[in-house]
Amino acid sequence: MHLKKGKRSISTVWRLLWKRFYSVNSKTNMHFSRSRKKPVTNFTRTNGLLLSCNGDTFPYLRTLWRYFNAPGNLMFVTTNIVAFMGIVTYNTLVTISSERAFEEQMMAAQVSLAKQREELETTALSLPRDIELRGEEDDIKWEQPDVAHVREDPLVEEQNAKLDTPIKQYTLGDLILNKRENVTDYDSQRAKASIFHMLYAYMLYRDVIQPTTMTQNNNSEEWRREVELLTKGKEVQGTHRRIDVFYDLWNKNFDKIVTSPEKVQNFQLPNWSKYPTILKFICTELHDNSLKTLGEFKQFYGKVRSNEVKKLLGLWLYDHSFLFPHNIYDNRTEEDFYDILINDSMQDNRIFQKYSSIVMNPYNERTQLFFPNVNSPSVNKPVPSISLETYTRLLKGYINLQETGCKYDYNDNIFKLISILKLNCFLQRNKKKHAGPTVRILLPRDEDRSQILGTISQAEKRTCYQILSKNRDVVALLKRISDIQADSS
Amino acid sequence: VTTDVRSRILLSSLNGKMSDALALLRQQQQTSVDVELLHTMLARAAALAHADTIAYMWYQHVMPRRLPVEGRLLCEMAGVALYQDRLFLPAQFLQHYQAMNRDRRTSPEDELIEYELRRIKVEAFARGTMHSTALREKWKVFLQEMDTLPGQPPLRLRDFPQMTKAMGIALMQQDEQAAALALFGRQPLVIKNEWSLPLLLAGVLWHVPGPAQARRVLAEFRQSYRGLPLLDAELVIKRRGFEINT
Repeated sequence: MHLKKGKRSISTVWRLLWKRFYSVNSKTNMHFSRSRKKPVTNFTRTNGLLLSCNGDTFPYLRTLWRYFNAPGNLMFVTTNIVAFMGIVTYNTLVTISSERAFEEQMMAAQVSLAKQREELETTALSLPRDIELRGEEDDIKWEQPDVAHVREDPLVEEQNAKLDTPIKQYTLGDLILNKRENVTDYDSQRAKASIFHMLYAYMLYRDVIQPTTMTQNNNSEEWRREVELLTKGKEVQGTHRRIDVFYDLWNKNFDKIVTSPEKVQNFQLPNWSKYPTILKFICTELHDNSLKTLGEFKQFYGKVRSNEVKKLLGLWLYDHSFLFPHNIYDNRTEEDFYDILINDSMQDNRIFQKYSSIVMNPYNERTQLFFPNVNSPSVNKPVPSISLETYTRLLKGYINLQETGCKYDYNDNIFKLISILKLNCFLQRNKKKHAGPTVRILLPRDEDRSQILGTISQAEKRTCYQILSKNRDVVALLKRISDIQADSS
Repeated sequence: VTTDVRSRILLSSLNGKMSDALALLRQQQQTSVDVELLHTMLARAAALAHADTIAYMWYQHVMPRRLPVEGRLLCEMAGVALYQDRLFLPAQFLQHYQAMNRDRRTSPEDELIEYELRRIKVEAFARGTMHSTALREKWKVFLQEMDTLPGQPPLRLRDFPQMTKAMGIALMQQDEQAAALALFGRQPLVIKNEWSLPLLLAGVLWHVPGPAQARRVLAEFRQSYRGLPLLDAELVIKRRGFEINT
């Protein structure tokens, strides 16, 4: 039965195939005539693919055949097929040739690898096969190789040199040498930078604020242009002349610009050939002066002629005196400088008061900078002292202020100065023989005062007073004070 | 220094051969160092932890002539000096830095640098006197430097490994242990930073032999102080596996 069924089924299949390939069917005509438009719908339903046609569409292949059979279409399809075959052939040829080239490369690479491996095994790294088995024993026997020994091996050396390291090795070509700048100490360099910045700012400020006058005509074109850039589009009023106001603003806002060590180290005076005359002069002096000590600052100050600049420098020095080192005993020149500063600031209330506070307030740390010390055995530490001449100048300054400026009352200061003069004076033996002893005034701190003053004997005091009474300046000043007292009372 | 020698020194230090560069520099005259050379050598020596170069440059050039050196670089140099046992250097770095910054307004970075330099100074003291001085001395140095820092930053035990180690060595001895506990009582100085005492507590807790002792130390501490940040102490108790409620 199976066999029979099989026979039958085979014959059925055969018939079907026959039908499929040759589309010969007795009923074909009928099918064709009955549904002429059906193939279109069928193709759309099956996405236009002939292969996915089911049995129902089978008869419509006939339509295709007819379509194909038309002479024009035959030509067209044949041409297409021929062109397609051409493309396929060409493509295949190209693929084959590239594959062959790749294979050749692979072969070459394998050969070279094999060669390298051979080299390695024969020369440097011939490890025994059974290394893993004897691992622990080897570890025990293994010793740190001698560094010098490894160096001697030329092969390892060579391989080592060939390897690239991620750390860059610099050669002479990589090196870009900057101009040699000598190292300078922080304090003096900072003082220079600060002074230059302040004076440059001041000069610009002054020229901007002043209406164009003949002083500006001397200035260079570049400088004038810089001033114009600042004045452009702004209402500039020509009222200034308060140097201390400018200084305060500058000190508050700009002094800290040049304090970082890096900036200070790299500070250089710019090319000053186009600057106004005063600034040119200052730059030259700053360049030539090393400005390490107060003595050198004194030289610099002494060369300046302009009153404005002197005032600015005086204000600056008070705030930046820490940039100069303290001499403990021998600062005679510093005291002279203080004398000059007091003399110069006699007209300027503010600077005068600042500097006089160095004497009036013994806790002012600038005392140590300006005045020579006397070693006092009773407290076992140096105590600053001031000469009588400087002291009288100070007193004179206050009396001037009291006489002229009625805004404030300076009676307290004058009184304090006189009492200090009376209590703290002592005799200093002169090293030169012809001159007699001179009177100096001690400036001790409050905690040391009684101890130090206790060591001055009454006889010494009396001699001091005798010298004081013969000093014309002191006497004249005292007379002026008594006149003021008489006026005010 | 001729340009040739100068570029040779620079090349050696750039390529990491600090000892060659130093040897070359030693042959030159004292005044021969320029800005570029100085800073390149210092930076490379700090990066490569070459303490010899740092010490040479410091004692021959930077310190006597008061040359400006950036704070960050000083910190790096101090770190190298600490672990290469140049224990006098960190204190000098700090002094140098403070001298250069006397009047400057402090920026956040300045504060960090100040903290770091002081920390390394304390660490260097602890490392140098690991076995020789009593715990009290180290504590005093710690208070002088760290406790007086402006801004009172938090002080953590993890930042003071040398000090912690020194504490451990000190606490091995019986009398020192008593002395450490006594530190909770009266202080040589007025303590300003609230993190200082908890750091001492955490350091002691790190080295106590067992939980019973730890409880006693904690109780002792509580008797005197309340309301201080005990974060470090809690961490130490957790790390050591004690079961104590803080």
